[in-house]
Amino acid sequence: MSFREKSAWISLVVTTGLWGYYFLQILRAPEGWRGPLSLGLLLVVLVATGFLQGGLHAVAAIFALKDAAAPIDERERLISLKAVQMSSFVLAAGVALTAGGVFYGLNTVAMANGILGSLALAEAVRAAGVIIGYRRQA
Amino acid sequence: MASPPPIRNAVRRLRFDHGEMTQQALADAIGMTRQTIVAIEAGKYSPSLEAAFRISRVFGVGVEDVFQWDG
Repeated sequence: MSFREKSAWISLVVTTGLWGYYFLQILRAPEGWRGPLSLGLLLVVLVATGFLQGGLHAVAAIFALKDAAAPIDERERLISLKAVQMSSFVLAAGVALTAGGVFYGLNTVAMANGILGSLALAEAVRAAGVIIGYRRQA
Repeated sequence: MASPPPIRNAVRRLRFDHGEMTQQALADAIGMTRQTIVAIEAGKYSPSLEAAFRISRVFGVGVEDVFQWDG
């Protein structure tokens, strides 16, 4: 498995794990507590994402130094572009649904979480798209 | 799932004809990753025209000696 495929796996696992935890806690919380809880949890998730992504990528790079330092080539760029194309559709759909929800009484906290959820889902789809691209052309 | 492109190639044979050149050596020579050479040899990825020319230059042959339309 190439370094860049490992990188996509790291992003997928970290994103789904941390944001899955975030939204599980938000959904379990009583309605009135969701605002302050969202802010606190958001900071925790962002810091944990930085540490986990950075740390796991560093470990993966140590075991494949040459692979990690190699510049991206045309096939990898194509895989990346296709994955971003898929994820941008998910992001746009999520943001549009969240914006539409405002007309049906979505409050500001739910709207913020809708956008955060769209970002997290788009990143998970991007990482999954990269993995699928590498698997199909392995 | 997309069907593989109707292009076959002789990269593997040409590598062996050139002193059993490794996939990594070919990849380094044309500025690509070894995984991309693996994908090209397996017929799962068709390189750009520029990359095709680079590969043929490494082996000292024409592009059509490396890649053939199989449609």
